[in-house]
Amino acid sequence: MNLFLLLDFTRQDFVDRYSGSVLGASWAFIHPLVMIFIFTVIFANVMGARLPGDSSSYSYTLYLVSGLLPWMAFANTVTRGSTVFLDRRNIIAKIPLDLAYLPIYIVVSEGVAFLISMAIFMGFLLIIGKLPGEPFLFLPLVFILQQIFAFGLGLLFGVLNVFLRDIKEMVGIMLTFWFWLTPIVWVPDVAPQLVQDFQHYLNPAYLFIAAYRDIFVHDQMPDFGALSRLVVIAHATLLAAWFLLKSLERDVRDFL
Amino acid sequence: MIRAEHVSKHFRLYRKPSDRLKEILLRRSYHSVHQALEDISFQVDDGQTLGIIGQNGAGKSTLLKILTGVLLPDSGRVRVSGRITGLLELGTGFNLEMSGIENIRANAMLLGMGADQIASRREAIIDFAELGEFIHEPLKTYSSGMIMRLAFAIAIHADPSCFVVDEALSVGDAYFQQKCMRAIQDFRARGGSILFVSHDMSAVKALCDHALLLEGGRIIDQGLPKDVVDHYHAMFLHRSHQGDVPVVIQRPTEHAAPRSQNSAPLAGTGEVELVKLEMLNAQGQVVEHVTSEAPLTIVAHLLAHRDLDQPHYGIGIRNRFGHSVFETNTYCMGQTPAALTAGETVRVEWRVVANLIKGDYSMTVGVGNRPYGTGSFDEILFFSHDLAMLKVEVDPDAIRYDGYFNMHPDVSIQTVG
Repeated sequence: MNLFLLLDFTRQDFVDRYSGSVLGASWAFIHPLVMIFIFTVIFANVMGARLPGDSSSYSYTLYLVSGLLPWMAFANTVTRGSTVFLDRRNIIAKIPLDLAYLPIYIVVSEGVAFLISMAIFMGFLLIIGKLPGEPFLFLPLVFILQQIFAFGLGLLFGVLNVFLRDIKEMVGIMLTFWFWLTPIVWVPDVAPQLVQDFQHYLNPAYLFIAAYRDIFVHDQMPDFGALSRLVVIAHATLLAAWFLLKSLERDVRDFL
Repeated sequence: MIRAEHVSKHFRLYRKPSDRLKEILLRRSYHSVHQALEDISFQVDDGQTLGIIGQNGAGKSTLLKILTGVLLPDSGRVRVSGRITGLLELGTGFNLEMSGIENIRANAMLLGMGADQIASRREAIIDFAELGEFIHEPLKTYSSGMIMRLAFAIAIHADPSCFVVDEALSVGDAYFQQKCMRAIQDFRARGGSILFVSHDMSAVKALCDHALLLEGGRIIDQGLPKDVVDHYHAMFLHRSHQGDVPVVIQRPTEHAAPRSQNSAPLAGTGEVELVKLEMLNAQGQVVEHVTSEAPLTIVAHLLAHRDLDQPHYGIGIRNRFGHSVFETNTYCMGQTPAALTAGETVRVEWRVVANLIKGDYSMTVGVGNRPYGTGSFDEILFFSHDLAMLKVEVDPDAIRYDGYFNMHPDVSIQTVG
């Protein structure tokens, strides 16, 4: 399984997603554009939502989108990772692929989609004059850590899903809960203390979501203590997934 | 080069896949075991062709999957120098929405080719597949034969070190099959190894250097294709015989030399014994060679160990590839031989003209009882190949020809315009 093949899977993934549509890959730009537009209009202008202690009319949009875009990349990677072996069973059953590397194309593909959304978001930030400062340089690091974590989870669920198809649905439910338990739409300050504590100690997603907020909303360096916790959690998850795959690979191949 | 060393594979059969997880969590067994392969060892050297034969379910596909690496063996090792391709990847990675050209790229990449390699091979692949304008059409408009053409063209151009030829080849039309066979032979001449998996026994005999016979996941025979194919056929005689007497199939131990005439038969109950088998020339002398076009008499002395109410006697002549040149039996010839009682010996004499092309031939003799259908028997009492060798020499007075035998053609030539 070489890099070349992996990149082609990624490319093919994009082609397949928009194949047959007239606008083609431009849909990859249209979706985030519409999302940013709606959140701006609904929350900032219609509902007049403001962040506590910030009166700027775009502050909530900024808050929302800077959390939502990474979360979507994260959730999509996990969801698609959990079905990758079943989706690709016709190839796995015919071509000797390294199963551990197969989900990488999803990670890369979602990374590209994130990059496109991020470019549009940056355009929006430029227009409203809220371009992030130096902390922005840490964005790639945060995103890579987040995707390593997503890769680990996707691989873990992907292996289990071969044996128990319900995993796919359970992952969907889990991600919905996770989404609402993480301060993406809501602001941590409004939540009870218990929920706020939960974020810091038990929610790995908060670790990276908070880092994006620091970069885009607060214009400050991300919390490196939190990021180093994320480094450990992400790699531990990936390692666990890798061991699970290696110990069950024979069965995975037999079942596919 | 392909080498398999003591490869074993079992499948655990679960009623549903989640039982596997239950098993891990509860530490109880929820499966039954199917032993798909057991202690398989063989080697295919560069430039060699190995035939793999066996009935459905014998383990051929599992073996191929382990060799290509998509299944992992329980124990044992597989070593392949380079890449294995073949039609078993027929359609893998083929996207029916994409055109032939795009599929060449995608498929070749799946086989592990690099971008520059694909670019340099693309024209050759397109030329080989001979799909004309269709190469630019989506694959969903292709017939199965056309998809096979494309798959084969890519597989043979992917620089494999080993090529797997299987029944998928038969999807192609006669022209393309011939083209494939030429390409495969070229590939072998360049030092490639070939695995030939087929139910076409003539092809196995003609193309393979070695063959192995799988049955129930085990190699039950391995050696020269002709011998292994005989063994395979003998298994069917065994199976078609549903009688009450267990059939003993014995393999000849020596490949080259003709079997001693009263040895145990290849198949059959053994209740008829071949006492003597002789070939006589026109002068009635016992011979082992005969001139082409000359009369030949084949005499078999057969001793019955039990009563046979409707015995029939068969004869066969096979060439050095083990291909049957001619075979028939008294039932097929419309004869009704007299019943035999135990202890009786009959002398069966066939008189033929040996108008065969020069070469080495061998004799097959069979004895059956109670015929039915177009030439099957309720009981096979004796059946064995290679009972005697016959060398046919060129008849200097006959025309020169090639093929199997002299059809004694007449020719007339007229100027018509």
